[in-house]
Amino acid sequence: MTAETAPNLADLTLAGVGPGLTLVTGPNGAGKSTAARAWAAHVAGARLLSAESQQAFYEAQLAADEGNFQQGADTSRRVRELVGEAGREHPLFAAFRLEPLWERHYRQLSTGEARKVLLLEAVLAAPPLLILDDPFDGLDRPACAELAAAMVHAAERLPVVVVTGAFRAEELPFAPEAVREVVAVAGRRVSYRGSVAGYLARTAGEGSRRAPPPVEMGSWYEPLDPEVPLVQLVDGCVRYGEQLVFEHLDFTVRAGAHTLIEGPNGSGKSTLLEMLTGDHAQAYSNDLHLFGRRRGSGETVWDIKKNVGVVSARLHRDYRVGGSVEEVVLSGLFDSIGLYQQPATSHRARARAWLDWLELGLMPSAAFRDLSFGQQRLVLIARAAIKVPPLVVMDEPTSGLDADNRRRVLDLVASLCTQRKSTVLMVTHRDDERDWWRQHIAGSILSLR
Amino acid sequence: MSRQNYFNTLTMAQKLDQLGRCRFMDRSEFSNGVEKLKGKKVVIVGCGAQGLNQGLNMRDSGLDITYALRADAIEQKRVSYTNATSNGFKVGTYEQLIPTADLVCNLAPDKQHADVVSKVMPLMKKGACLAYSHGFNIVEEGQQIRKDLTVVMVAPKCPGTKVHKEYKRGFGVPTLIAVHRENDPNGDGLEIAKAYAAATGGDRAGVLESSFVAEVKSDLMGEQTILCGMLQTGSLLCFDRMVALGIDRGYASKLVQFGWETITESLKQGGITLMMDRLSNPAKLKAFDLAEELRAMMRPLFKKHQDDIITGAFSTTMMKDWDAGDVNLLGWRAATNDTSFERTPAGDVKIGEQEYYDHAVLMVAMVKAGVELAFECMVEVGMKPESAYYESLHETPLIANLISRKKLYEMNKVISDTAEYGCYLFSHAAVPLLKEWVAKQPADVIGKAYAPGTQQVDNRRLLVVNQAIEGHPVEKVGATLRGYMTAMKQIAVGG
Repeated sequence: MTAETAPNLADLTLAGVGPGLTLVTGPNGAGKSTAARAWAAHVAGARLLSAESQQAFYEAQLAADEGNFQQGADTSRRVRELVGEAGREHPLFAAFRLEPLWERHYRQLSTGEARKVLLLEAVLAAPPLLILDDPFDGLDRPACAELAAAMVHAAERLPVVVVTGAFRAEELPFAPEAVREVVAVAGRRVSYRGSVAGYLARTAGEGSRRAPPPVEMGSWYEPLDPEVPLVQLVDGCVRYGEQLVFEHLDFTVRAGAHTLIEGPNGSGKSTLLEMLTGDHAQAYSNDLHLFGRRRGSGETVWDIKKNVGVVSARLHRDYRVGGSVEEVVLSGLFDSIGLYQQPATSHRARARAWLDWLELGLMPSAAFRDLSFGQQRLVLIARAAIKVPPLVVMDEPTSGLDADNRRRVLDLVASLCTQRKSTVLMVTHRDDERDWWRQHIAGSILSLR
Repeated sequence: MSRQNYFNTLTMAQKLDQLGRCRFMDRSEFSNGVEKLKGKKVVIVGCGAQGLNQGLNMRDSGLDITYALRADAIEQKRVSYTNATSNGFKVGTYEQLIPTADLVCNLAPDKQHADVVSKVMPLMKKGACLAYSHGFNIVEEGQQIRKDLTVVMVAPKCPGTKVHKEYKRGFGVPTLIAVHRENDPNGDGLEIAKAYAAATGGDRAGVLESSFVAEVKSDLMGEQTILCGMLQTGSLLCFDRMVALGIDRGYASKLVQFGWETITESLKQGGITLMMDRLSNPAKLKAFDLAEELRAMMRPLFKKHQDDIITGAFSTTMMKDWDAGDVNLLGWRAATNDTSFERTPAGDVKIGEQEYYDHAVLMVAMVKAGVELAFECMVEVGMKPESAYYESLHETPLIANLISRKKLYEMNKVISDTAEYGCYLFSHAAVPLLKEWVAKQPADVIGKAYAPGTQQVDNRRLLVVNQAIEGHPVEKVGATLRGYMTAMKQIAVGG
């Protein structure tokens, strides 16, 4: 197929397709999610689940929350109200280990937990077409396997479309024969339709050369005393009312002690990291030293943030302001969401270098909000790295990225770790990233339960 | 407590001076940051939306924050207690914490102020500072504060949750500060208020230096007329008219519930001028004419509300109702919940963003007339255009957002009791006043697209109307103040 004759993505009709599992794949920014939204809009009753729809659901819960204004507690819906007794009896309920969350309010769920609840709810609804945009994102390993099995099961009765970034053979969570068809897209057009084997044969050996990240532009800040631990948490404890996230947690990070953090959804990985980035209120009620200073001893949150670069699902969720991709990258120098200070010319040069590294093919003035989820994530990763700070916190940084871009981000992590100015804390659920970490990073692994 | 309206004790010259205080402060005036409060004990009384979120900001700015709650709130682990402790704050009783405080922030609900202040004041150490975020207690109830205490106000012009959300982004919300002229024994009240504003991040978004009197009188006027009163009146009348015209009830309910928020989004960005520009030219001319009629009909009512606020008649009446167990307030609340707009859920129909303008020319006219009248009345009694702008146009989108969440119920629940009382008072006069006139309006100004006999537009008339819209004083000051905000952001980043 040539570019001229290839069907436009939006014209690809999925209406009326019978039961079965279809994989739609392609690089970040190819138009996968846009097409998924268009298909969902064309089939009456179709259900679409994506990072965006999860975000929209979260915002709706936030808006409905009277506690927001009234001095009340969280009034977002509880898990039991969302999935009901029918949900409790569904095999996925046990497989996703949702029982302990039965009485939990939606807004108190971790990213992975919320994903599971919404997935279960969508499967229960048995819609005429179920589209899942990057459903494995943010799920721990057992949940991925359970979800893949659930999709194969659901696809026996209804059409299931799974949208996922370009993948390699070892990354496919399904048995190849379980997939009826792979639809590969590029540049908003269909570039391939056929079997998994055909797709893999076509893409074998692909993988472009990637430029190294511009970390040599140097750290933004004076080096800290290497003898003082960056992080020192003693007997750490976080709880929300009766709900305990973790307790008796000792966690020390010395300069250069790169650490991979793993653990099931809801084990407190993100909570722990938010304590270190100035984003968690209970940091103040813990015995926590950051960069040599006791938290709550008169330092400002900006004193902490200036030493940290962060990317996480929460930051991505909260980054809801207008502005260009260049401004978003620049905002990393000021630790703000949105840009409120006049950047210097040298700041701009730095931001351009980081944008070039991403190879997004976008103007620096492109609107951040118009980007796909994966492209936004890449820009936020550049934002986290631009100052090459003493502490880099990457909470599932490759979420929503295709295989090529995932490697690009892992290159960055490796560069940051080896150029000795930054210490990296990274969370992942992926086996391949864990293996990669063991092979390439001189660091340790922390498992939370 | 015996009440003596503070404003009424002032001389005419003092009244005018206090009402006319409003100055947009320069960023350089905040170069000392939070220094004045560094290392001082800040105790916040009350942990609702404002209390919690202001405290979160101040702590993130490096200040020492604790919460003083009533003993029963702590024992019974009420919401205020949970709010504070789950955010890692230390909590204590008044007796435990107030005597140690250098700054006490009274962020309890307005109605409890007299009670809270009378309990807190005897416990405060000599020379400490008492801060408010709303001056009703000082100005209307005439609370007398011990002469050794400094009394200041720091009032973020946003709901509490937004106060912290904007801070975390690295920005802030517009904030009004003031020093009570009767309580500034050391002459450093303004320095304390500035440090407090800086600690909440208000200095990044723009600070107005005002007075307790100007804040209270403008706040009361804005909330009971354009903000809550006009939107409630418009909601009830527009819905009923559409139903009478045979328009689907679900559609009518949705158009009103979400229409205010959609329409006022352009108000937020570009004032009345941009809101009117969202209409086609023929519809804009029609909206202008409708607004002129509305202005003529409602002007006496707006003036009466402004007069009652200035003389204190409004607060006297309302406080009588407080003393009588809120009999009027509760009755009106029940009656509002029983209206047919309130009881008709929004239909499951799609209404496009532009359609909210095109099908609601009358609602656009109501917003225009209400904003302009409230602004004019405030300026006529001696308030500065800057004060009047914030209390009318600036806050309208915030209240419209509440209606889109859960209609009038939500609005009246979230706003203060004072605003709710004033809203009912206004709408009980405005609904009968406008009812007959609205009943004559055709569907093409409410519910359907405007369809005049001819789409032809007289250029000369359009020019005159455009000039009249842009030339209104609220548009002039609005453009300047929105310009400051943009300049502060350097690169405008819309939230």
